[in-house]
Amino acid sequence: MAVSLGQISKELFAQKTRLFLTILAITWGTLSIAMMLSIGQGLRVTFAKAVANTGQNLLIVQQGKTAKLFRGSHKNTAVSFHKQDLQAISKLPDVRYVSPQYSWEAKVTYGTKTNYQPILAVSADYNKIHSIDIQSPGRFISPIDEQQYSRVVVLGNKVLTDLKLKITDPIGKTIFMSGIPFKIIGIMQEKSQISAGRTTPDANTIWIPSATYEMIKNPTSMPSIAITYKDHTNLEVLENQIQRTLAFNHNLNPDDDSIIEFKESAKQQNTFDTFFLGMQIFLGIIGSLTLAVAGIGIANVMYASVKRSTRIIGIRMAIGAKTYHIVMHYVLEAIIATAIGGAFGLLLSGGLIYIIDFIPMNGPLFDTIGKPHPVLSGFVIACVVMILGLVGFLAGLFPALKASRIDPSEALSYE
Amino acid sequence: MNKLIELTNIYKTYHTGKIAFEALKNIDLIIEAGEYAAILGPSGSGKSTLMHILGCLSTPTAGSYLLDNREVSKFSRNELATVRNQKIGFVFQSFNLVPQLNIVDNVSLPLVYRGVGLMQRTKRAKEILAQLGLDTHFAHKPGELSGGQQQRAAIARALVTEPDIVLADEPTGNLDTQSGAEVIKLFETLSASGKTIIIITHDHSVAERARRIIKIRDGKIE
Repeated sequence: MAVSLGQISKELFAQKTRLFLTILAITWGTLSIAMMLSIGQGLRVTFAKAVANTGQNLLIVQQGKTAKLFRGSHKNTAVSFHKQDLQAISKLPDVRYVSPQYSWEAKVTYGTKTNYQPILAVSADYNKIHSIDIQSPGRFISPIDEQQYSRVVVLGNKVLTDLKLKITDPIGKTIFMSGIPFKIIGIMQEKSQISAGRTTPDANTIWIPSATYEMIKNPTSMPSIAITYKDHTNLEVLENQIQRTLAFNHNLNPDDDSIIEFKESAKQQNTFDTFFLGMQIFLGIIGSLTLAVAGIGIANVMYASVKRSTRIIGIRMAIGAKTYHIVMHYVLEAIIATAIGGAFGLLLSGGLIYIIDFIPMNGPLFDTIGKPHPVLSGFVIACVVMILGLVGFLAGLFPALKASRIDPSEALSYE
Repeated sequence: MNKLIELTNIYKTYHTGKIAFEALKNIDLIIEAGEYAAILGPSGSGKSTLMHILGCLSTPTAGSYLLDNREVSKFSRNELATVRNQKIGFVFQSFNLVPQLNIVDNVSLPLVYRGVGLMQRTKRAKEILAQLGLDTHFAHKPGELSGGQQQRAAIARALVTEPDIVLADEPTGNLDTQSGAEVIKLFETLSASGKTIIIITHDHSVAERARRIIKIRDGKIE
């Protein structure tokens, strides 16, 4: 390209104040854009995890009412689910896990402490449906518990606090629910969660085996069913299959889509994802503006430099520099300064993000969603590098074009 | 002899607002290859304008300029840059070295614009600087050298491309008598080796050392 990068760098580094100010401006701009994008990315990842913790590929099936007449069945009849419905749904090819969801508000007693707590009776697969991990030692409800109608209970990690209980070793202890003794077999590990479908967070929930509940309470119907479907499932097809399965079991119109209600976590996840992507873009734009201001600063410094170097530019032209040599010279100067400032800015951002991880963040917001971790991901770095490149190029281009239009014979007599 | 430069009927007019100023009027000039000529004139005589046209730094308003049998008066900016790079070496009164670069980098700069590689251009620059007695100053920047040394570095830069013509604009103007004499001596040596040299000066003693004196006054050759 007939331009010496080495010589341009030498000239650039010989003017230390100018170089320092330029690099400082770009460092600051890069820092702000990288931090903005990283924080946006951190929020996105944190919220995505919080939503996913409620259950990935989660579909909740709730009872509805008939809207169409069919073979003697009436309109406006409530549809109630039974065990055979659950079994039929579990046999559908796209269904991975199913669990009934019987909710029950019971008086919970441990020793002298008493509280009304929401209780959820579920199958042994429910921990997989809701991404529930159990603290060690301990376990979730097992299929054997279901077979034996075991009176066992798994507690959300905040249930003991709700009961104002301080039990150092809760596993194996007995609590009473509506006067019936249950043995504690597991405590949930803390997790972030944004509730999808139910209002009680998992942390405040008590789980018992659904079979045990059915034996004790003998319920007439199942209010709702939680399903985890397989990846790459077409949700519309699956919902249609479930609707037809239930219509067949209950002798209802298979085209009646009001017999059941669906709640899909995927839709909520998409909404959150879109929202936080938008937020990240917004933060990115703010950061870019800061960087653009830095770019204008560079352009100004470059303009002043071109003005001061008019005579030198004349000399370069006299000894044979063509238009593109002069343009390349100033564009490269700006890009080199931008690259150095950008590298510093990214390093500083990395350091700052590392430090942010040590800052304690508390409060109800962080309890719900977890602590956001800003992420300086490849995506963020790629964005920053692209914007930096553009800013550096433009900041150099305009002063460079001005320089290249200088008349050599006038420039040589310029003092 | 071979006509290197042939100016015919050259005019150069400058416009400042509505006032037109004729810096050069009807200049006819032939300079042959190997000549050592001085263009002598007082300040404001048009000698600098003539030098800029001879050096392809600007184009005439009217007239023809044949440089090595090529009409350069209508060349574009970039074509003129190529002509300057290949055929002309400039020496200026105030040396005009790039202050941020050491003298090796300064001298090799014309070769950068010619596209010569780093190794080759550095070698060439060092050779020519050594010939001019600056071999102990390679790493020095212009500000660290005396006036005479700077002008020798500038002459090295003018010679590094092996140009057909060396154009010197008041080359001794900023030098003490001894350094000035050394520079003039250097031009004489170059002339003896066959290089075409044109010196622009207002100093009779400098002009008299040349083998031909072209006097210019009020934009005309006398």
